[in-house]
Amino acid sequence: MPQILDEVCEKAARRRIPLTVHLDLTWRCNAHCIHCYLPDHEGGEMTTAQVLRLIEELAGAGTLFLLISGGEALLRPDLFEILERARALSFAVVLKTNGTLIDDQAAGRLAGLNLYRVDVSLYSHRAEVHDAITRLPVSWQRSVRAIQRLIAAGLKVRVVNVLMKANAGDAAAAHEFARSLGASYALDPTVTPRLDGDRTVTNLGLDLDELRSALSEPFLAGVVRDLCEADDVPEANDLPRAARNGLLCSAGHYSCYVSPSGELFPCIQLPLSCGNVCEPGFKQAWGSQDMEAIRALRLNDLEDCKGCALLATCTRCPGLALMEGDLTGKSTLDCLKATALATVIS
Amino acid sequence: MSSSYVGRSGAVAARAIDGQMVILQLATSALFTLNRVGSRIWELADGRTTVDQIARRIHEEFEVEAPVAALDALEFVERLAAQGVLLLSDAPLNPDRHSGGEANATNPR
Repeated sequence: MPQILDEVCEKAARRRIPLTVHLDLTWRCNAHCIHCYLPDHEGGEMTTAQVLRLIEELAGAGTLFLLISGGEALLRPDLFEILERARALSFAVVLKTNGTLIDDQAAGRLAGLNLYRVDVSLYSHRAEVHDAITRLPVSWQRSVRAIQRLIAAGLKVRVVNVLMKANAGDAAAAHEFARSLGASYALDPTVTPRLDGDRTVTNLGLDLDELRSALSEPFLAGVVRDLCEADDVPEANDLPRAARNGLLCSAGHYSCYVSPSGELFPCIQLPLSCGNVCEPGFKQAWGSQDMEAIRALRLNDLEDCKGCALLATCTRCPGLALMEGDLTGKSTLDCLKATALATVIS
Repeated sequence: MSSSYVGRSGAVAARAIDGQMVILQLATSALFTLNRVGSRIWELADGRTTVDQIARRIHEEFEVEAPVAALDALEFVERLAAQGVLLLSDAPLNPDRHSGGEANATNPR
């Protein structure tokens, strides 16, 4: 992450400015991914007017990066109205999508909005592997076509992949495939538990030996940390070192998550509601006692972690630790990743 | 050049953070932070105001001598125009076509 962005993040953390907001417009989705962390795809959604009011408030609060996602955000018929308003308010907008609903017209409209980037989920260079993960027939073909359309329209596209047993052997070829399409690439080595605490899906993830092997792929040499962590959008899991200052991560300090129904969480992985952005409103929820309690936590509060030799390669997620029972305890999924990364980097 | 109209590019994202404009060029990911005077120039770059007019406002609001304000404003505007962050035009620019939006310049914090 460039130094200037570190400095902006540091200032935002100090001043409690929500620099990055992840907004899920819907949890509805046309895919049925085997590793999805959403417990259900129903639930209330903010109206168009409520979303527009929220983003006006975020602009005033200092938010620069707005990550719009779902579910599948293109299922919202008002998506373009929301994106247009977000760009008129000068946000750097990242749209996260599976791409299956992006036709030529949609790609052209998205390009006309000067989005910062479009993230498209793609789990393999092979259609049969990808479609078995999304459980949506011909989704690979449609996602790849969307990537091609978006890039042809002039947008920056990042292929987002999650390492699982089902696709671990394809990581290098998927990376090469993404590059051949003209997209950048991000690799998430962690399958996270469902938001309701169900950990069954984590069985889809790699064990330590598999993770070491996957992260040792030659194509990751020298860039493994970047592909797994860093980004030019300061999300919760890539708190820059300069801004760390003993903070657990950026969640609640300069980033947060808003659910489709308007619940404000410190992060999607830390689903502790701090209030609703419609009532009482974003400002009140962002300044709530619940959010303050998250902000008060420091690395020194982590008895299991503070002396750990793996801290340098660890991206410990408080939310994952909470799902294991203790916000200030270990996140064994991150221990696994940090161990594998330390081996690979050394 | 001093009579040129100055507008904000639509290919950026921008926000006032703690009184300082932070501008992200979307295509390159280049990030710019502006000081107080630069942030004010950004705010004034509405497509209907010329470099000369901006320099006059800087002279009045920041107690900078007029010739210094004129030179500094021109240099600043040209530098950001070279980066594609600001736009210069002989005719007024349509704010709907070039502007990053009305929330660029203010932050109530």
